[in-house]
Amino acid sequence: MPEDLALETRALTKRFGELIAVNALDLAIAPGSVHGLLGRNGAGKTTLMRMILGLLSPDAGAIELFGRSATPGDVDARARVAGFVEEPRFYPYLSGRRNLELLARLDGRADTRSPEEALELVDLDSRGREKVGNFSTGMRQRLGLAAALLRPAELVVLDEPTIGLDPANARTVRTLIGALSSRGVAVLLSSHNMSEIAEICDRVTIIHEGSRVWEGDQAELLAAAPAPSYRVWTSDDDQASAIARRLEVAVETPRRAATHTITVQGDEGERDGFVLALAQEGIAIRRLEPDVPPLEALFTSLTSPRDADQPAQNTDTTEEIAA
Amino acid sequence: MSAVTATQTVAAPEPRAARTASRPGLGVAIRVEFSKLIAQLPLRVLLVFCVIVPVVFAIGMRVSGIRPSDTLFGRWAGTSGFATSLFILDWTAAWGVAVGAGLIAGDIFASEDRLGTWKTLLTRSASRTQLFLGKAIAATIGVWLCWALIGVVSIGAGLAVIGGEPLIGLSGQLIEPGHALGLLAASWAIGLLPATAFAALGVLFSVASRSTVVGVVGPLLVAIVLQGLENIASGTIVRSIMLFTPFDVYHVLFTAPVHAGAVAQAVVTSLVYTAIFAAASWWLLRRREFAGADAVPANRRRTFVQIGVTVVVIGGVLAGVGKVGPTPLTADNLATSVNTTFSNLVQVNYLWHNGRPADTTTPWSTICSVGTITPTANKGSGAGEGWSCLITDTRTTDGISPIQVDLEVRANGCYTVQAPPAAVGALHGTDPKGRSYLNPLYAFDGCLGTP
Repeated sequence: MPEDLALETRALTKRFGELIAVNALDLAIAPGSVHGLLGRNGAGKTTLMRMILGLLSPDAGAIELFGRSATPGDVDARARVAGFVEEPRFYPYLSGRRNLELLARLDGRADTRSPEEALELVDLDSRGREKVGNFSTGMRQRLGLAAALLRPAELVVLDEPTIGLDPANARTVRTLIGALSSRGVAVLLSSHNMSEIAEICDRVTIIHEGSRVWEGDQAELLAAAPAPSYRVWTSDDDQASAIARRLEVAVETPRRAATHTITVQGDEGERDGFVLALAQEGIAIRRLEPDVPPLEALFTSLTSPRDADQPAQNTDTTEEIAA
Repeated sequence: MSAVTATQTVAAPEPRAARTASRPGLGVAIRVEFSKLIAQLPLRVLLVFCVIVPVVFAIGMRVSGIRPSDTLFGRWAGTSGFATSLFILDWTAAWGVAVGAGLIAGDIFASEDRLGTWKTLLTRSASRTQLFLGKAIAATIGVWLCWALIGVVSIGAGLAVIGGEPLIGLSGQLIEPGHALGLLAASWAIGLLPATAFAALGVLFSVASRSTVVGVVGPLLVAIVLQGLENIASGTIVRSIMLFTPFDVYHVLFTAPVHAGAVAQAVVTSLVYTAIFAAASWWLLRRREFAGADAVPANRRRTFVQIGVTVVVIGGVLAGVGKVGPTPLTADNLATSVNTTFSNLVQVNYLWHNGRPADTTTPWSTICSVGTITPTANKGSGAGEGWSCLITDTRTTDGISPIQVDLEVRANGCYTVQAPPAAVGALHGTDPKGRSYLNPLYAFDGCLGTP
């Protein structure tokens, strides 16, 4: 018998007046997976997360958490769910530790992590007695994560958890997410940081104007992404640029640096042809780096206005994951 | 802490069999909300005021010769500590509760909107019902705490600074200290009920407006409207449904005889208002969507206008129908009450002046009228300043000449009598030991016993 999905939404829909914020969205997250949610601002990511956390009622569709239907006011169904949406908010007149104490009490369970433990996990243990009103954005972000980690949740919903964090703390958060996943906790993560999503997510869903336009794992991502582009630095950029144009692999890009003039795009064979042509002309390649990561390329191609009507490429991932 | 440490310290979820969904009890929700409440400056400041104001007022009454005689018991506030506390009770009921309900209950829900913390609260295991009850009860406890504190401190300060002299009741009777203390405690206790209704009103403003400003100012706005109605509405129908009426019911405890029915009605009125306000708040919170800060401002403006219009319309309607229906403020009722009060005060004055009770009781009869008084029959009804009463000694021999007194009758069933000094003596009398006392007949207050 297959294990229950941590989260499953079926035809989930939310409207705000005329605006369809989430449109018949299907989503499935298996236990232990880290699922990335991508979309432009206003795509419906946060609305989706608010519905999962019970802050909003769907207008249509259903949410199941660990095989149990989760209606809007059903806190019992969400007993194994934690997380936050948008910037985490706390009571500024209380210390970070006191905030966590009160929130832990509202969980009403004996197996909550202590505030000290939670603060230590996000590297706030030395600042826990300070009032939250004095916290920086990054500290509040980490406190939000600590609040989510207070109870032993099995689905953690995180809305841009590394926004406002310095690189070291962002790394700590990403490591935490990985650790949660390795212990069977499912994580639903939204972020605008493509490299972060690519680094830590097993699967990715791209939402555009409330609808899912793509979903897949890393391998499917690489397969679905448009041909990658590369920035090339050579011993003779002018001649190399002419060759690229002749081979129709040149991409017109604005000049970004005085030492860089060429961006090429094509499949593996086209790129090989360009490199060999450079070699025949005696032009050395001094540096070559990806111009746009595959996920970003895919995201841009799916969510740019001209592609708004493009249908989702895979429509029934629920069964796929459940199997 | 390094990232590596973080990885190592994230605990694995417990086996599924050991996990059970659980919720905090209501007591936990109340304690959490009260902890938040007490950690904020407004409640702390309010509690300090609840202690300081009665003490300062009592000291002021002690050292100053000015008496707030336009308020019930005000003229005795520098004579009896019980009257000091009753004056503070009257003031607290009129304005203090509205301020307290606004600062505490009016902010307790709206502050979550102001701070953006609804999403933090609602993603824990407490249900909306528990959170609502936790907040509403914590706010009510906060209002009760302020009410009780100001009551206890006012009694203590009154007795310590002014003294425990017997109290002149609202039927002119002398109330001995022990009895007065009991009635005073009962008066403050009864006030908890309408104070609860005001707390519920603050909660409603807070939930409906999602604005701290509206939540805090709203109850005060209602109190101002009610104060206006308090001076207009003399009809039994409107007075029986006015939120402010239960605050006046303590008057009946100080009349003789006590009209217990008025207390029962005040209890019912307070409970009905509390239930209506609480139910409306719960309905609004239950159906609310927490869509994010961007969805709030438009609703807030609309709600602000709706609330303002509702208050004005209800106030206008009540003012319009305030005098509709029967009124207890009839000339007959007034004549009976004034006669009793005057008669009792004559006895008190005799006692204070001579140091012993009078051997005989003078039989008095009183006729009251609005406008020109006719010595044969009571005439008129309603509140106002145009009342006069003719108080006559009915003894066939040695009778005192009839005394005509002017009255101001208030819509709440209480009145102030100004007697001519030529008939009742000067403002101050002298007791057998040569000490000055306030002549109780010079000017006095009374109540019909039906607020």
